[in-house]
Parts: sequence; structure tokens; C-alpha cells
Amino acid sequence: MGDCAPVMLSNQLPNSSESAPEVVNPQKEFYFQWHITDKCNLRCEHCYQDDYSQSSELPLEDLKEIARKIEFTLEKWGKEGRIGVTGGEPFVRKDLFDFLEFLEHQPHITKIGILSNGTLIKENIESIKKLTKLHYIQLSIEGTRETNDGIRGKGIFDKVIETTQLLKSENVPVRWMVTLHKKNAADVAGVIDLALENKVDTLTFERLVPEGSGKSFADYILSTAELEKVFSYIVKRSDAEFAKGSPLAILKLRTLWVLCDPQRAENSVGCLPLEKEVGASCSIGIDSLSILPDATVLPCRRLPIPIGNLKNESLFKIWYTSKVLWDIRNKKNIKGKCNNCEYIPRCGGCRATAYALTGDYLAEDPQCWKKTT
Amino acid sequence: MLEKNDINKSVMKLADNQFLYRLDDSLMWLFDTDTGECWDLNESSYFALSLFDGKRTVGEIRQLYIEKYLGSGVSKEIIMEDFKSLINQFITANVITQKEMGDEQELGVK
Repeated sequence: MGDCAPVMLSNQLPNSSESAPEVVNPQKEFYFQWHITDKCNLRCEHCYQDDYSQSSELPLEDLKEIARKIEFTLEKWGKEGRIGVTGGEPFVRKDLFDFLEFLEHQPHITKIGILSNGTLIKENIESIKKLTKLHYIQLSIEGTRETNDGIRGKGIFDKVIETTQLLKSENVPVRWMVTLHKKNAADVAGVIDLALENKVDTLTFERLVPEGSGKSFADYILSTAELEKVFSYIVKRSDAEFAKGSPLAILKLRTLWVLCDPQRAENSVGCLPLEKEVGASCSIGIDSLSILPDATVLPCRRLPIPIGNLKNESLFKIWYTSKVLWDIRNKKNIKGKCNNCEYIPRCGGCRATAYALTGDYLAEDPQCWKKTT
Repeated sequence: MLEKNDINKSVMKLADNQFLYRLDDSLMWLFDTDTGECWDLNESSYFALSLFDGKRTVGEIRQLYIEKYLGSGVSKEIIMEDFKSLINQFITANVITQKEMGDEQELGVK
């Protein structure tokens, strides 16, 4: 009693593995995955979209207004913003570079990534070279030629390789992203070989979350045993490449990776090279959001539960008042074997996978292979 | 502000741009959804704010506040002073506002 004055909190709290301080004091960087269009020139089998129309797309001026809100929020938080611009296929928008130029003028937006299918880059290479905050261009690839083209369309594999080589010849950092499932799990070694051959800078593997038109792909989700085998191989291969001095960084900063080497994860927070890190907490409610073409905000692109809309709401309102975000921030809410798991600070399970496979975003991660006693 | 005779009869509510949240027994916040300000609250601040539901009068809230903390080793006079000081701060900071006629919208109290 007698000390009732509310105390300003901003930036007072230390970074911690406890969920609550992170809630109101996001990490140094905040990531926005911004889908500026649903239009796409490909129809990949496993895509999380189910609409490829232009109807929801906002005009450039509205995108700029949202970017201003993001800048205002980042400034208030004193954080750096990293924006992954994507679609659909972002390069189908004629005003893409006007938008990117505007983003580049926002002082707190410090890094821009472009997430693309890689088919429309050649004709845009001169504009890409002028970007000053470009962190990387991410190209989606599903496996070696036959596997990739079976999923993404005939001839796409060769396009991606050609695009990779073009970008590398212009010193543009390239990231490849593979969505893992039963159709391509056997291609993992081949993809790593290809990434090395093509001097790809970073390679990341995401688990398939059956959403959108990818719902029909649900049967191809890897079993827990299959996922453990694939992840374990990737960690061993990544370590081997690192030991050889390979310039390829294979990223393992997602949920469940911690299980491949818990001891390393526990002892290494922030002190290992990126290539050696394993495991990271789900970023929902901590330091990331996803924005759809009509400004609807999702906790994550793979968790399709709208939590607001940036056309008519502030980012603060969405971030601070969303029930979904609070549910997920409070790790005590997470059910099943995730609930008391000692790896929660470096994992917490994929909430999107839980939602897609059980209908409950707080359910335990259905792909977790950890044995419980 | 609380010296005004009719303050205890007024009905006040959390301002529309304020959001109150309690994560657990020790973590309670007030967020300004316009400016992004975050306020770390202690138990008594949180308790008082959570009572501003746009239905109770300030007098009723004061009574509930006194009842909660009386018997905790603090005199009624100190509790009343504490409450007055707290409410004045909330009013000054526009955290709570006078309820307008016909203003029945849901509050951000969890």
C-alpha cells in the first residue's frame, strides 16, 4: 500500500526466457512478414493460400500508410524492423519497387527480405541492385528437379537455379526455403548439395502446415519419427559443413530443432555462430506478425486466425489486446506434453501445426517426438 | 479532483484506448493502444482499475477498495488517501474517463 503509482515499463525489463517480459519488451528485432498480394504466377500443391485473386490487394498509398504505422511502433519500442515482403508472388506487383523504396526510407526498418518463387527476378535485377537495405532474397525450392517441378510446376527448378546464379553474380544474398513433407524428405541431402554448388548463403527448412490449398496435402505431413530423422540428418550435415568451413548457413532456428541437441541449445543461447545454433521459441506474440494483402493481421502466416486489421487499427492495439497472442504468450496455457516441457524457452511447439492438425492452437505440437515419462 | 462533492457519485470507466491485462499474480499491465505506453501495475493499482467498469460509481469502487485492504495492517484513513491519490493520477493521465450517456460499450478489462 502507499505505492500505487503505475510505473513506466518500457525497456526496464531484461531479456529473459520468461514469457512475460518479452511480451511488452519485444526483442531487438521485430519481424513482419508482409504479403502485399495474393496474385501468383504459380500454383504450388502445398501452398497455404487458397485465393489467388487481386480483390484484396491494397493500393500503394494504403501500403505506405501501414508502413508508417509500423515505423511509428518501432520507434516507440526502440526496435529495429525486419520486413519480409512476399505474396503470392511479390514481383507480380508493378509498384513493388515504389513500395520497397518507401520502406527503405523508414529509419527503423533496417532490413528488407523479399520472399519469392524466383521466376520473375531476371527482369527486375537492375532495380534489385539499387536496394540498400536488402537483407536477402528468399527463393522457394522443394527438392531436386523432379521433386520440385512435381510440386511447383514444370521448368521451375531450372528457373530457380538460374535466378540463384544471377543474384549471386550480382552479390545479392540468397536464401533457399524448403517446405518439408513426405514428398521431399528424401531430397534433403540433394538440396543441401545443390545449395552448396550454387553458393546459396542460407538454407532454411520449414515444416509443412496444411492450410489453404495445402489442406489437401495433409496426408504428406511427416510423422514424428520421420521428422526426427530428417531434422537429425540436417543438424549433422550442417555441423559437418560448418566444420569444413562451408559458407552455407543452414538455419535451425525454429521449434523442435532443440530436440536434436538439447545440451547445445541450453548452453549456447546467443553465443554460438548462427550455423551452430539449434532451436528457437515460436515467435508468435514475442517478436513477429504477419500482414495479409488486405491488411488483416495474423499471429503467423501459417496460423490463419485474424487478430486485427492495420487499415483501421493501431499496431499497438492489435499487439496488446489480442486474446490469441496473450493465450500463446502465457506458456502455461500450452497443453499436453508441451505444457511442462523443459525446452519451452527454445521451442514451445509450433502453434500453427497444432491448430492445423487439431483445431486448437494451444494443443501440444503433434509432430514432437520427445518421449514423455 | 476528488475533493469535489459529486465525484463519488460519478460513474467512470477505463478510457477506450486503455487495455488492462493480468498475466499472473505478479505481472499486470495497462496499455495505451494509441501511444504504445505500457504501465507496470502493482496489485492495488490493478485492482482499482479493474473495478472501473462503467457501471459502478467512484464511491462504490472506493468502498470495495477499502474493504479489500482493510485488515491488512493499514488504517482506513491511509487506504482512503491512497485511493484518492491513485484515482487522481488515473484521471490526470486520462486513464479513466467520465462515462458518457449511452456509452455502454465493452471495456478492455480482463
